Amino acid sequence: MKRLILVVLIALGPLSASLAQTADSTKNATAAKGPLKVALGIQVGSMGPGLNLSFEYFKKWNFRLTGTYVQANYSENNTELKYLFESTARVGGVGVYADWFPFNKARGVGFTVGLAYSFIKLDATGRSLVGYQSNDFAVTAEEIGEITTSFKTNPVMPYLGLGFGRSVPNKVVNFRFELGAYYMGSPSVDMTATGLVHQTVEERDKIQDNLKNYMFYPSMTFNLNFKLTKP
Amino acid sequence: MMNHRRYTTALAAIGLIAGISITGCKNPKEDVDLIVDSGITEATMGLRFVNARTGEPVGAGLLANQQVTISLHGVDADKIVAANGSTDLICNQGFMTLAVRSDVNPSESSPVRFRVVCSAPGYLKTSQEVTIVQLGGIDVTIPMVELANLPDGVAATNSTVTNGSGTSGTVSAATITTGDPATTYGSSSASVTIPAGTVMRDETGTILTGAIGVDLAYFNPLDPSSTQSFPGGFSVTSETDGDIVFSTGGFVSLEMTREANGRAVKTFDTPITLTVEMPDNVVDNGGNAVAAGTTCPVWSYDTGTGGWSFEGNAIAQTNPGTGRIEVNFPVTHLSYWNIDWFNNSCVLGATINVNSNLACNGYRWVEVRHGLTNGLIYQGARDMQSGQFRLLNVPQNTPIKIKVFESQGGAMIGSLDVPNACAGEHILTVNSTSGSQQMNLVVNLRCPDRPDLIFRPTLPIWAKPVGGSWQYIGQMVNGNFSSCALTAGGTYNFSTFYDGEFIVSNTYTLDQTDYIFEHELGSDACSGF
Repeated sequence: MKRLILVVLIALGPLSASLAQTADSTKNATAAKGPLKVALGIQVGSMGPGLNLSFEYFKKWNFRLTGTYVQANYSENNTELKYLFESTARVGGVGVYADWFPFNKARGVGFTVGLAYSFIKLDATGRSLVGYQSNDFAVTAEEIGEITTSFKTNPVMPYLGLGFGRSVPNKVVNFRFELGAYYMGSPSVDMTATGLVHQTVEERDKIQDNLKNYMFYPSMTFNLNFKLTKP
Repeated sequence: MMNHRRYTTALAAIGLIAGISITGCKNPKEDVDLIVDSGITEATMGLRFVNARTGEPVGAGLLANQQVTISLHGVDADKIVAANGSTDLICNQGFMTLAVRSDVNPSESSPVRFRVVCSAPGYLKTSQEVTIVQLGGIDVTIPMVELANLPDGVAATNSTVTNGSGTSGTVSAATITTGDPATTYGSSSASVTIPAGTVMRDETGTILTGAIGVDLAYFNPLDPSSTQSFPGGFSVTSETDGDIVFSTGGFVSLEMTREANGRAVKTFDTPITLTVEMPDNVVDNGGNAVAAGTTCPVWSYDTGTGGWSFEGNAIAQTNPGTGRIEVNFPVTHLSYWNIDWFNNSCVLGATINVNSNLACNGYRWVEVRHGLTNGLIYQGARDMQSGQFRLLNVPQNTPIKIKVFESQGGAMIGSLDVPNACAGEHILTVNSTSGSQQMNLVVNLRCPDRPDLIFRPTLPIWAKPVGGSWQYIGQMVNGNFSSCALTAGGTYNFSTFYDGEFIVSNTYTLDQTDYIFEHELGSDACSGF
């Protein structure tokens, strides 16, 4: 809970600072406004590849809509321990972000706050490749069964980041790099198991507990932005 | 300056978030176990071999070579394995687990029937018939008679006779008598008369010469301490008459061994004579008092297979010297001998509907006795939760009595007279004074080299109250067990038996509902996993 409060305070910090600065520089306000500029970007990063659409009306603020998604499958056929491990990881989301550029000298450096609807999910399945024989007792690999574990984040994830480069280029094109973290809450764990290993579902609570501190999803993003409006 | 301070603050905030994220995290797999059901079948038998006098497990605290050894016989013996699927049947500390093979599904229409024949150093050999008609756990408690510590109603003696060389046989005639056992159920004994010149042979036909040790034991047919430990029991499958229930007039075990090399005498070229006295009040299977002139069937018992064979009839007579009723009969081979009247039995008897106050499964000690002779037919722990069961291997067209006890030797909590043991449905009301509280037990078996792997077997569970004796309380299924057999607030040890190991828990006080019993198996039990 303390961490959640901390995140909220950090997220609110730049906004309050921005309001203070806005009040202090009323005389420059007209100069900091419009016209509306729009940019389209492509991005890759820890939330997967995707597109973003950025807007600039106030000089010190950019606003972005993003959508990212990637699915990766992984399979491990362990011939030594005789098991097959298959997993599917889905990463991505849609989000709205506000980039704040408070510095006069370092104009491309800014803070970002945002909110994303997460597509992050990991499904992992393990099953034995061989049966088991003990004396006159034999079971097949199918009878041993399989275990599937799924991890999901909270669907809505607040975000805080530090960016280098504007989302809406001053000229035609620019590059932006951003580091940050999503608050995803403790991932929820679902577990199913079949066959002789069906009682392993009892371990779900242990995994859930082990993951309780995995509350932040680190983000590193590279953007290539193209200005759609006239320079 | 202001810009520099904001920039530093923001970086510190992000660094703090990253720090919290990294330092507080555990390996997701930490302490997570893979749990595997390892029960091969849900039809297990918990075998408990107890000293007929002390009630303690046979072989407790003794080395492997002093443990009970068993062999299986009967039509379905090949369908029985150890709980790990092995055909290597090992008993340890007076316990063992047997299981019906996983490809066999016992039912009333297809019962699994076999005989456990067991022996232990210093004990009389014995056996017990087992019939399984459904999945589930059953208790097989086998009392064994220790010759050096006889139960009431049993007398034994040992003596020596001397055989000359070649075919000269016994040097001089001998009569060896057990004397009367300690009992309040009438005076009686047994004796063997060996004429001079008796030639004795071992199983290969070789003549045995020199000193021959003679061990003779006699079982009073009326004393409950004696009858509950009768070798072979009373509900049997005989070699000659099929499925029958005995009503005994007395039992004798006679064993002879050449002292020089331990070779057992099996046959005699000329008969020796056994005399079995009967106490007053002995009745035949029709409830008729035995008197001079009563025909008495004589049965022999093969200690190797546990099979009974009808040898012939003898006529009871009054011994003019003692005034006691006795039966004399010649024998030409050595075995156990029994005076037994019998009824043919039905494998599936009457249906018993249990009306019980037990909230869940709760095994209680049950005795089934012949309605006319009061002879013991069955004893063991049975689930007395409300439900239905069939009587098994009971005498045809014969009344029986069912008695339910809180525990073996405990207070009676239910009884029922059944007019025909093989027919009808009857209600048995059980009012237990304990066991209203359910306890749940999870049994985890681990291997030393795979600490993340838990096996949950299907095995029998025994419980022992502190200061008491082990009692069968049911079967765990894939490591999970629930019971209303025990007393809330009581202090117990639990045990089970797997792969030759008698596994005993720590002591638990039953002041909660759920318990976990963890045990690390030996490396042999884990090989192959």
